[in-house]
Amino acid sequence: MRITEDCIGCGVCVPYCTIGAITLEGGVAVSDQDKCVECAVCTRCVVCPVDAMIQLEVAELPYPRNLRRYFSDPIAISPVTLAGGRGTEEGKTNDRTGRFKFGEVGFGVEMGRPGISTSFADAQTVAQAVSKVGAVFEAKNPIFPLLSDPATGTFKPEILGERVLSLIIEFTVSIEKTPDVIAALRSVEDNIDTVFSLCAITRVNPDKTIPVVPWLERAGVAIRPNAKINVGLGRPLIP
Amino acid sequence: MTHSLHRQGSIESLQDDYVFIARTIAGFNREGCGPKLQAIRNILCDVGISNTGRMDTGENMTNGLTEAKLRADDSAAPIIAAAVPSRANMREIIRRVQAADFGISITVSGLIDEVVAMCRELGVKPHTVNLSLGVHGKTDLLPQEDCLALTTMCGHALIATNLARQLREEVAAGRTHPQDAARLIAQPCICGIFNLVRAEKLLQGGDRQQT
Repeated sequence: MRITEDCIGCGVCVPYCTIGAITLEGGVAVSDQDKCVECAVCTRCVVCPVDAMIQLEVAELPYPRNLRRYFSDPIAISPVTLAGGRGTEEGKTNDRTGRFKFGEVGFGVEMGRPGISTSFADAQTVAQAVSKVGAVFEAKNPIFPLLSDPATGTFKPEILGERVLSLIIEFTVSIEKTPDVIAALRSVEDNIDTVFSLCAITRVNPDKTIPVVPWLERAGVAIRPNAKINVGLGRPLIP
Repeated sequence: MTHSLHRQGSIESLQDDYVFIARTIAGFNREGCGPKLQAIRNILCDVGISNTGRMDTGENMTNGLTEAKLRADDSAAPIIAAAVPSRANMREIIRRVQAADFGISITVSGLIDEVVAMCRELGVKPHTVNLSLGVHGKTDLLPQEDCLALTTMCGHALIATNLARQLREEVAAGRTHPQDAARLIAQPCICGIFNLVRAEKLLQGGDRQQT
């Protein structure tokens, strides 16, 4: 988002910026173009009294800057998933698709969340670490076509400097590799200049216990008390 | 992906914070699902929700989406997402959806123990769980937890820390009513899973016991 010279410096847009890229300088609002992730929250939620904010659409932004918009504004349609949002249906439709099976764990490493943003360079650091312990990256995730080498978690070089509000590194491993994934993530968390929110997806046992819990506990991971649970009301494709 | 599992705050405040998601799949059950989704939207309205949204228009219950619009909507959308302000309401919604047997995948976000107990009560078998394992990396960049309890109610992280902080300060100073502040903070959350009822309580009373 760019701010034109019509700005009168009222500051109404400043608090809406998701990553604090808009500041008042010399009596006018300024948008730091390196930080701005093109999320469009400011132009969608703020009524600028002089109409000084310009948000370019996905098709108007040049590559690779347009990646900022795909990943930061859920209304922007990804050319990969043909949908808004940053991830996939993950466990939400697993009762119909059977994507995650017993004995497997799906991990979601949401880089930049909550509210910090991330570069693709930091995402690559994490992706390369988990690739070394056998992570199989999800092909339907919008980041997948941006990997120049999915086997090693390496992104295309021209996108490494781009910043997005968040992106999700989605991958699956066998449940026995859970401690290896945790160790890989711990090995790089001090090497990145952002945060990540971590999640783990598994089937629920018939007795309603969760098979990955002992593996996570053994790895010393604190499991938060709230979760997202597919309650199994979808009709399976293969009964 | 509505990242409703990473909501932060005390156990107490999370007890009245549920997210309902109905998800259709292109090529399997999205085509022709409009009437079923409309029936689900009517269940949500009948039982009571605190917010919902539309990804295609960017509207939620604070900036244009109304109950009348919701009930009239028979579109075959990929997703319906709503914030539900109590366990009783969440349980009743699941009971009605289960009875109607739509065959559409339903996900509930909330405290694990409560959701599992709800499933036991209703004879529903949880299929898949997505566990939240916390925030890692350079965590000293994060804002204070009272802001995170508000901002993490938007699954796409569209609510700015500065907006939450500013409105929290305005409520504390008596310049803005908590209900008005909650609606202003909710505005950027286009999925509509920002729980307005919980936000108002957080703005009124704080949330000191963090998880």
